[in-house]
Amino acid sequence: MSKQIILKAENISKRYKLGEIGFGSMAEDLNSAWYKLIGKSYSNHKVDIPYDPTNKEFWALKNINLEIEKGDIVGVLGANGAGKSTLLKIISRLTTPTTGCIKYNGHISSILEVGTGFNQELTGRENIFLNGSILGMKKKEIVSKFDEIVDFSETGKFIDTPLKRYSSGMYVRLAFSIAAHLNSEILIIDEALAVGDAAFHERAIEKIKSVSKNEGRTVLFVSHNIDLIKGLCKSGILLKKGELRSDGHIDETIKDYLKISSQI
Amino acid sequence: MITDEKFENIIDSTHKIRLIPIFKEIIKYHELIYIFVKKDFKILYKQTILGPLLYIIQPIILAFTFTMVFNRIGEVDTGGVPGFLYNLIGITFWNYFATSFMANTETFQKAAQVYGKVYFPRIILIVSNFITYLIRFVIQLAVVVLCIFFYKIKGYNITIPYTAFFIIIPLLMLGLFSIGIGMITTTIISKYKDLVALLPLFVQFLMFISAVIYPISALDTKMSHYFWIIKYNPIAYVIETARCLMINNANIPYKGLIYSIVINIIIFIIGFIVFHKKEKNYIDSI
Repeated sequence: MSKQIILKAENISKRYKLGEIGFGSMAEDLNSAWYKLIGKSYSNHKVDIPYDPTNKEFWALKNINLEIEKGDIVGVLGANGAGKSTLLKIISRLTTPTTGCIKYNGHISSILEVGTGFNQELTGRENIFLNGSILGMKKKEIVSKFDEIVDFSETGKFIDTPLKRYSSGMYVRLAFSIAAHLNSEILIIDEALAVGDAAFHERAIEKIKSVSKNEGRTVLFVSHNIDLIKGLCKSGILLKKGELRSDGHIDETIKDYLKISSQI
Repeated sequence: MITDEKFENIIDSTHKIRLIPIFKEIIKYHELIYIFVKKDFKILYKQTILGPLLYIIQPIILAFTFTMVFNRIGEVDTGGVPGFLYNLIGITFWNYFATSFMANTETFQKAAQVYGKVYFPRIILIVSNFITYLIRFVIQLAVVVLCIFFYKIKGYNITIPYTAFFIIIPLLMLGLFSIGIGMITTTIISKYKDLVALLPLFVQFLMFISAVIYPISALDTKMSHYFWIIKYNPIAYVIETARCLMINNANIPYKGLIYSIVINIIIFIIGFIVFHKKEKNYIDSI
């Protein structure tokens, strides 16, 4: 059987500027520009770190090349600050890469954080339609999936209650349920399952498996839970300090991950 | 074996403006626009006493206040038109611009807070604002029409002329202004947050120099020193034109209107460019 590449990253790098951004007010910016002009360092820089004009950049990602196959569940591994979130943000089109490009087919839906794209004032029902439309779905498609979403999230009784009255468990169940049932070819899940209880957790894992196996959708799964990733994913990506360390079968990725972790 | 090397979507770092894809995306997300507009009106009914009545009461009270201050205490010459009606028309058109503008200035800030972790073209928020405030305007316009009939019954010589149909032109111009200036402002504010505090002040100042409650000609004679502020304010001509079309009380300032259209287009193009450049990675600087 031939394998299809659904997402391809070529030479992705992301640079963040340190210091310069996060000033916020025009007066401070002008001040900073003035000090630069007369050749002195701006006093604000001295507060926490020594100001070094040569080191104002931070590369969150360096030359990432990736190919992800259709229908795969890919585990994304890496210590805190390795660049996992930045990579997923770029794939979700929330920010642009500094260099390189990502090519993909179909729609991407992501749960990078609990309750993404929800409106607190609207009811659960309205939020399902809001979220579906954000993913570019037609009303008809959302209607056809509506009952499934409600059943899976177990929010039946509360579906016409504003979201601000939901418990955090209901919130995360609905968020996951929407993302899992809507027709996106690529699904990105970033530690969003941590809030649900054990029973929902298990059902969510089963759902992810079936989404990949039965519907042929691709899942990018971020977690620090090695056992979970081992049971769920076929292949894995390991990031360390913005670089791609390994990319292949999940067992080897986990081995590398544990090796790197023990070194520190 | 790897097949299918063709991809539908590409994410990269270019900021090139490709008009056709942007237009296509707006069409593609038309249901999201519909939901945003519906949401804006639904929220209006939630936990409120007045609900949409607020839109009717607000311009009436404002027009009443201005009539007291400027037509009774001060003596603005409205050329035989009842002061209240004169002010109400000006305020209705001005409100459309001001509320739409304020909503557009919030685009990036709102997008970061509410929709920060999901992608959709942010211009969708602007398009849905445009529609929302157009609908609100229509509601407020109904009040103006009722008010005209009221004065007619009372014996004033006011009729709605056939030219009233053309208010669509000043209306679209005000909408375009609110988008153009709004796009520029939201881009600047995403970096300089303290400017948010100055915005209401700016809008208020703009209102008093936009011929909302007086004819442009009145200032030429009364305070000729400051007349240049109004003379170069493109919005003033639009408001004046709208009022002329509604009640046919004066001649349309054609010269000023053309000047206004040119400025409008220039601002819109600048706004569109800076907005588009910022749109892709505003999240990094907000």
